[in-house]
Amino acid sequence: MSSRAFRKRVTAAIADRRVAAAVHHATWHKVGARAAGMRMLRNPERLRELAGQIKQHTLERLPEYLEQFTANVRRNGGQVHFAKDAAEARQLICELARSRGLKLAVKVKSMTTEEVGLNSALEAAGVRVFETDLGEFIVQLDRDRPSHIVTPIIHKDRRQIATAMARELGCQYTEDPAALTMIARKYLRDVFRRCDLGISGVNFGVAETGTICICTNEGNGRMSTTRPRVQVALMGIEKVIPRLSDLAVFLKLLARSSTGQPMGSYTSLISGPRRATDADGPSEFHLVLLDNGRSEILAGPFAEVLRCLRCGACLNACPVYRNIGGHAYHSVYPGPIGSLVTPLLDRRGDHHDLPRASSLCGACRVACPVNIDLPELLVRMRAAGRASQGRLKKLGFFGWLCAMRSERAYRAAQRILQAMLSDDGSGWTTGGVGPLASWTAGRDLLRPAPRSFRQLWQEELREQS
Amino acid sequence: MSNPDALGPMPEVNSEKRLTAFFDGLRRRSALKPRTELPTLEADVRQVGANADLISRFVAAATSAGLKVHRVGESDSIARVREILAECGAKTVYIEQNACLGGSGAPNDCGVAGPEIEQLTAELALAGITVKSDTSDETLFSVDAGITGVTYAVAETGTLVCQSGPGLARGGSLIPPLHIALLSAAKILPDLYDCLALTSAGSQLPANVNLITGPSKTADIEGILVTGVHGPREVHVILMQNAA
Amino acid sequence: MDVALFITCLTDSFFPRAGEAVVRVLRHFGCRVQFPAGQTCCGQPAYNSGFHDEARVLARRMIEIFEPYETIVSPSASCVAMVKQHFAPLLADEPAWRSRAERLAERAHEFATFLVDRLNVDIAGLLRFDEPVTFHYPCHARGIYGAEDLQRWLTRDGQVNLRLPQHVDCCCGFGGMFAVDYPEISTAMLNDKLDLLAATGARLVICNEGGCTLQMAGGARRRGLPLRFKHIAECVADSLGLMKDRP
Ligand code: SF4
Repeated sequence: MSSRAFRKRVTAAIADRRVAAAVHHATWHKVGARAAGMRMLRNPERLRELAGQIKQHTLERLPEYLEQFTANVRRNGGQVHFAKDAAEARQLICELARSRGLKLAVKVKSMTTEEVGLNSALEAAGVRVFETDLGEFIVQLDRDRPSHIVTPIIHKDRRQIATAMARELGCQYTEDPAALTMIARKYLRDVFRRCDLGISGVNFGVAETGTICICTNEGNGRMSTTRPRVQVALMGIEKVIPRLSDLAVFLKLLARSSTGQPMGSYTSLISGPRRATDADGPSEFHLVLLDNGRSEILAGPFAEVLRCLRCGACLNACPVYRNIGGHAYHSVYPGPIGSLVTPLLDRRGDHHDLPRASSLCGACRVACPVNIDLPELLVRMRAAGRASQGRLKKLGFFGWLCAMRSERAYRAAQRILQAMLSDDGSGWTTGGVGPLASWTAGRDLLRPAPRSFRQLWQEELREQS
Repeated sequence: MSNPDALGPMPEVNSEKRLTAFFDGLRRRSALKPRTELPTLEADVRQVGANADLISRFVAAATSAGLKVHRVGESDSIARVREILAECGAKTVYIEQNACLGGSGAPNDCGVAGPEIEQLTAELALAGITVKSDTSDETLFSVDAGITGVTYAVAETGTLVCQSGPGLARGGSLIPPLHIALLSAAKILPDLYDCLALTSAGSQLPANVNLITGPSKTADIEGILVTGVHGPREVHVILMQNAA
Repeated sequence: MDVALFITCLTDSFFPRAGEAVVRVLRHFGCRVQFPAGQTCCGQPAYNSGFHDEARVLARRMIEIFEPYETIVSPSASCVAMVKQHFAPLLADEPAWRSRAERLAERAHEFATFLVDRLNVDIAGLLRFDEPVTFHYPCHARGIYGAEDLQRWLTRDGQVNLRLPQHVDCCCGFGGMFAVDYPEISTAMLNDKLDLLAATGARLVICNEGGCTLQMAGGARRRGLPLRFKHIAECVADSLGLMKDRP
């Protein structure tokens, strides 16, 4: 995505008052809910620290933990596959469906499957795929894209949803959220009854037990891992954690960070396929371990991003996200974490704008349950991408540095600035060219004071000492 | 992204070998040095101690999560189940086989305080309710309510823990629109930490353990809360306390 | 106590009155204020933009200029944070410079925290306002002082009519170069912030960060909002009658 394309998206997003209002409303609400949820904890800061520590510890010993985890998945009767990239992941899962004659897939909301573009590959391979999370279901019906990693239709209001559902499902038009939900329930019930393949991501993979943990509120996660005869879980290699008890730390933080709830409605711990004596459940369990650039990230200076739980708290907290929405990022992963992960996962793409389009306010860092120092990493990424900065900017910083290296040059620069800025007669500048035009497009600019502090000091203040 | 239509052959089938090669590569390349300790957890993680009033903590947390908790003496539990079914107009129910067998040692055994399954079945039948106990799709997708036992509960979060196992259908607490969980107060653990530490103590977990904390719900449409999306719209907890 | 004033470029050029207030208040509480003449910029704009070589040059320069002084005070939390949090990591590859940076970090103080922690001044007890006030919490003060601290400094039972804005730590959208690199986003964020401030009904906004004031005052003027912005040093100095000569 070129810089111009990014700017165009931003302009369009900010101009779309309907989307902006929806995203503002939702994110402010969630910021408040998160704060309230965290306040209920005895020691929220300590828990964030612990969570970050556990993740960091695991990343530092990732091969060992992955080995333990996969061995235990096998011991539980699961099959483990490895996909080095998105194409391999798609091939693996499509081949699985083909070899077993699976035709109807139900999906639990999963960012990882979005990342590898699984749905279209399966459809092309002749498998009907149904997203079963209500938001994702609506996205799929409306041929839209999710704009948030937890609440995919944060950008849609009920009229848009009602229109899409009436059009695609042929149901009675209604704007009542409860009625719309019941229409989806009824429709998907039938799918759940007939489906033969269940596909999910993984929130946590527990090394010591070979267990995957899936968290949902709607129950679609449970349905999709109970009903079909074959279950596939696509898991990024960074999702492993050492112990089952570590889950206590993460579960206390995850739902709170996402929605403010102390716990989501359903936390499913799945350890392999159904046992011989089980009453129900899938008879095959496949785990697909996905690299897709993660090992490269692990080997570089941004490994910390691999702690991410995909909770969405940094998106909700981010004032940039609040104003431009998720689509402007043009990535599966928007928001602060997306601004880091997108350029890392798609190294050939031109995503230089993403790490730069931030005021570094740090609201994300305060919200992140695994203590990722997002603003610091954004700065580091800006530094790493220095070569791609515009020539004008490089020149600007060169000139600026010259001015700041001596006090005389600095004072001269102050005077030049004074002279350059036009004055509307009351000490303000309201227009100009270059950076000045950027500034004054939406705000006025105070002119430098007639006498700088430095002059004031020389002329008056210093005598008194 | 490459063309998803162009499906190549399945990548090397020997996934074991590929994984090992990948792990080796990872080991060689990782820039991270192992310096972060794996922290010991209990003291910092625990929110609720063993000395807390577990029953009232559980009731408060479960209620705020949207579960409907009914505190009953052991002799009143069947009557309360009947009342709930009547209020909801439920005509057919599924009863989990292992739900109520007192002292059987089954995972979801709700303890000595639970109503005997035969007695429950008989009394519900007397009230004109059809009771089913098979786990076929026909049953689970058609009954008005599912009655199950609970392995543990968590006071901190108001969570019900249900496991899979012989006679324990995952669908029983999931597919019917109404879920009634029979919980003996003795099964309430203080903290989520206790629950997970206890669960991992065994050598191998059941294939499926579900932590249920509320009815099925969504707020995907304009943030408005709607219950009963894919799972039950209502979850009732019959919390049985010994008279003693 | 001898105090070296680190004025910062924005306060120097745009808000000399805030700088003057800092000097007068420090003197009022018995400090001898010095102004190291060679000082320019701490390098924060370059650092945040990813121009770290340039930032290193200025970090070394600033260390040289300020290390003779025991105590350094600045009206800007973000520039103090630059010195305290980023100088040492920036110079990590040069051990000698790194330890000099660490020493400087220990001696650098933000004005209000210096008053409270070092001079034991009860700021809230001094302040006199004849109108309701609200405040902006500058994001880059995180790690220097919290929004609760700022709130506490401005709260005196029954004396200060403090109108707490919603979402107290909401960013104003300044972000240094960000403000001109992505003006549309920056302005959209600014307007959110101004809405929150205007909704308090107060017209006087306490803002201790020159960059944020530049941004918010410019936005308020463009929108015709009757908001005025003042550094907490100015409020203290005015309350104590230290600035009589200059309005
Ligand atoms: S970076 Fe942190 S806050 Fe953002 S989604 Fe990941 S875990 Fe959540």
